[in-house]
Amino acid sequence: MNALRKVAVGGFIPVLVIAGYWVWATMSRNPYFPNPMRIMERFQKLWLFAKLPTDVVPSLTNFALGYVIAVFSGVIAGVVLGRIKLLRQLFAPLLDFARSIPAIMLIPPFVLLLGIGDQSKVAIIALGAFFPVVLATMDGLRRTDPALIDVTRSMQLSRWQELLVAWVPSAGPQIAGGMQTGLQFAFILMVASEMLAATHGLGYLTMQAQFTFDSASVWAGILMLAILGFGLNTLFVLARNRVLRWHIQSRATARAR
Amino acid sequence: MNLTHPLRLRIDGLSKTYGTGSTANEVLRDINFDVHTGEFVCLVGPSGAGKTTLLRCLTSLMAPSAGQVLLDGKALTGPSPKISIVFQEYTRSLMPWMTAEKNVALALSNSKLPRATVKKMSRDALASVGLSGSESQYPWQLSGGMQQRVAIARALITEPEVLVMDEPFASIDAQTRLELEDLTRRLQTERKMTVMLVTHDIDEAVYLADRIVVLSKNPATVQEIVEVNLGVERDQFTTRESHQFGELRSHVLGLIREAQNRAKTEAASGPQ
Amino acid sequence: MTSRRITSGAQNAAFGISGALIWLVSWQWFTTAGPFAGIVGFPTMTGSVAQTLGLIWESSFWAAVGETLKMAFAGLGIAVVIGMGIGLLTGLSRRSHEALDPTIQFLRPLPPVVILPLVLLVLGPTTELGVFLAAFGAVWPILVQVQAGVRDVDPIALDTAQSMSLSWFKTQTAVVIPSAIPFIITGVKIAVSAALLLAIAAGLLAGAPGLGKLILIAQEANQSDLAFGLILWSGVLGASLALILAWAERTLVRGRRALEEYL
Repeated sequence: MNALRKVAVGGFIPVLVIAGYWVWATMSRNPYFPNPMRIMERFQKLWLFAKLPTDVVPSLTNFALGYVIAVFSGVIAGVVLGRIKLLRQLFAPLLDFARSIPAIMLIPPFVLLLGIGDQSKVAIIALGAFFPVVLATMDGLRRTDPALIDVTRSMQLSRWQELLVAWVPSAGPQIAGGMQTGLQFAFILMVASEMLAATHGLGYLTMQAQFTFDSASVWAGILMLAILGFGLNTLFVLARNRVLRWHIQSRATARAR
Repeated sequence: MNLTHPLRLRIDGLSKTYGTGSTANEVLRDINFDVHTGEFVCLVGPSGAGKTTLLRCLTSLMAPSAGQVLLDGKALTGPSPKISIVFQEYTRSLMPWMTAEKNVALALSNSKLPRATVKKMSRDALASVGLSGSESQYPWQLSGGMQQRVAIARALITEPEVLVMDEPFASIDAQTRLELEDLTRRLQTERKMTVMLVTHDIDEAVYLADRIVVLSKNPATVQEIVEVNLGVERDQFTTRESHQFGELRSHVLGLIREAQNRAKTEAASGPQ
Repeated sequence: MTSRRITSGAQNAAFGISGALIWLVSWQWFTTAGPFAGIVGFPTMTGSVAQTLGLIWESSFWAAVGETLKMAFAGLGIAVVIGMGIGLLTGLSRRSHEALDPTIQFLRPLPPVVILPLVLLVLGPTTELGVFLAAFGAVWPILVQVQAGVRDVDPIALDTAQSMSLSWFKTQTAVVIPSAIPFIITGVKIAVSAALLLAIAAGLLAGAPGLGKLILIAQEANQSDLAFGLILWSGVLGASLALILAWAERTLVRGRRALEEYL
C-alpha cells in the first residue's frame, strides 16, 4: 500500500506535466512544441528502425571505442602516476590544470586535426573520459590499506604481484566512480562532437532537424538521447554492483556491526 | 628442553629508534633472546611497549636501527618464506574481494605448483583450522573468529618453520579466543613449528607458552625470560586452575606492573 | 616548523613547473622537428602561446569574455533562485519532497547538451539561449546541496529553537539556513563552473555570442592556433573564477566563525 502511495504522489507531477503539455500543444499549435502523439510517431519512424544502423550504431560505436580506450589508458596511467612518486610530482599539477578545461572545448582542435569523421569523435571521447578515470585511480591507490601491503610483503610477493593482487583491486570502488563519471562525459562528448562537426550520428541528426525546423524530429532525437543516456548509466550501475559486490557487502556488514 | 632442541632464531641486539635529534624516540633497546626449534614463546609487556615494532623488526617488515635476527644462523634481510605471520587485525589482512580459499592460496602465489594442487592444499589448510565448507565464502560473510582462522590457514599453507603472531586474538570475543588458543597449540604440536606470539593477555601467555619474554617500556628491553613448566598437555579447565599457573601469572603480572611504574616515573622526571 | 612547510611547498611548485616545462618543450619539439611537424591543424607551442598572448590586445576578445560572463552569471542567478527555492521546499517539507523528487531524479542526469537543439530551435543563437542552458545546468548542484544542507541541521539546535518557542520563520532564518551555508557555498562553486562551461558550449555548439562563438569561428576558419589560444583562456577564466570563489568561501566562513564566537 505504501509503495502504491509513493508511486501516486511521485508520479503526480510528471503525469500532470505531460498531460498539461499535451493539451497545450494541441491547442496552441506552436510549431516548436508538437503534440506528443506526433513526437512518438516520429520517434518510431526514425529510431525503430530506419536510422538505427546509419546513425545510432555508429554513434554508439564511437562512444564504446572511445570509452574503452579511456578506461584502459586511464587506469594504466593512474597506476603509473600513483605508484611512481617522481612522475606524480612532475605531472599531477599539469593533470589538474588539464582537467579543469572542459573537454567540450577541445572538440575544435581535434576536428581541425582529425577531420569530421569518426576518428576525431573517438579521440575526443577518449580524452574526455580519460581524466576522471586517471584521477580516480590515483585517488584509489592512495587509499590502499597498508595492512594489505604488510600481508603481501610477508608473502614475499613481487612488486608486480603486489600491484595486481592488492593495490589495484583495493582501488576498485574509486576506479568505478571515475569510470561512471567518465561514462557520463563520454556520452556528452559523443553528442556534442556530433552536433559540432559530423556527417552522421544521433547528435548530428537532431541538430540537422533543428536547422530544418523539423521540431518533431528534434523532440524525437532528444527523447532517444535521453533514453540511451539513462540506459547506459543503468547498465553501468548494474555491472558495477555485480563486480563490486564484495565492497558493497563489506560496507553493509560493517555498518550492521 | 633448550639443550636438546637446536637454536632456530636468535634475536641479537635488536634496537629501533624513530626520528633523530631532539625528537628521537627510542622504542627498542638491545633486545636479545633465543628461540629453540619447536618452542612456543610469548612476548608480553605493558601496553605501548613497542611489541608491534619488535614484531615488525623480527619479521623484516621493518628495518631495525641496530642488531639483527638470525634464522638458523643466517641473518634475515627481508621477509623469509620460512616465517609466516598472523596479524592482529584480521579484517584488514584478508583481501575482501577474494574467497577464503583464494585468500589462503595467495600465500602460494610464488610456488609454481599447478592450480589444482594449490586449490586442494588451500582446502586442506582450511579444514585443518576447522573451516571445511567455508571455502567459497567471502570475508564479510565470516565472523571475526572465522576470519582469523582463514588468516591462520593462510599462514600455515606454506608449511613455515616459524609462525609469528601479533596479538592475534585481541579483537576476538573471549570464548572464541579460548578455542583459537587451543587450535594454535594443537597446530604447533602437529606441525612441530616454532611459534612466537605477542599478546597483552597474561593468562593467554602463561597458558600457551613454553617461555615468556617479558618486555619493559620506554624503551622496550628484555626484562626477564620466564620458564613455563606447565607440561605439554594443556587444557582450558585444569591448566588454568593449577597452582603453578597462578604463580606464574602473578610473577609475570608483577614484572609488567614494575615496568609500567618505572616507565611512569621516568616520564614524570622528564626526558633525558 | 613554518620554514619546513615553505620549502615543501616550494618543492611541489618546482616539480609542477618542471612537469609543465617538459610538456611545453616536448609539444614544441613534436610540432617543429618531430613526427607532427608540418601537419596542418596541429598548432605549435610557440604559435599558440603567441596567439594566446596576442588576444589580450583584441577588444573583440574582451567583448566576448564579457558576453560569456554575462550569460553565465545571469543563468547562475536564475539557478540560485530556483535551486534554493526548490531545495528549501523539498528539504523542509516531506510531502513536497515525495512529490517532486522523482521528477528531479529524472531531469537531473539529463545533460544540457541533449536539450540544446530544442532550445536553439525556440530561442535561436542568442544570449537567451546561453542563459537558459547555463541555468539548466547550474540549478542541479545548487538544488542538491541546499537539500542536503537543510537536512543536515543539527537536531539539538532545532530542539533548542523549539524549546525557545521560536516561530517557524525564525527557526528557518536563525538555525536552518545558517547551518546550510557551507553546503550552499559548495553548490554555488560547482554551479559556477557548470554555468561557465554551458555558456561557452552554447556559443560553440549553437552560435550564441561570447567566447564559444569565437572558438567556433576559429575552427571554421581553420585557425588552430587561435582556437587553442581561446581554449586556454577559457581554462584560465574558469580557474580564476574558482579561485575567487574559494577566497570568498574562506572569508565568509571566517566571518561566520567570528560572528559565532562574538554571539
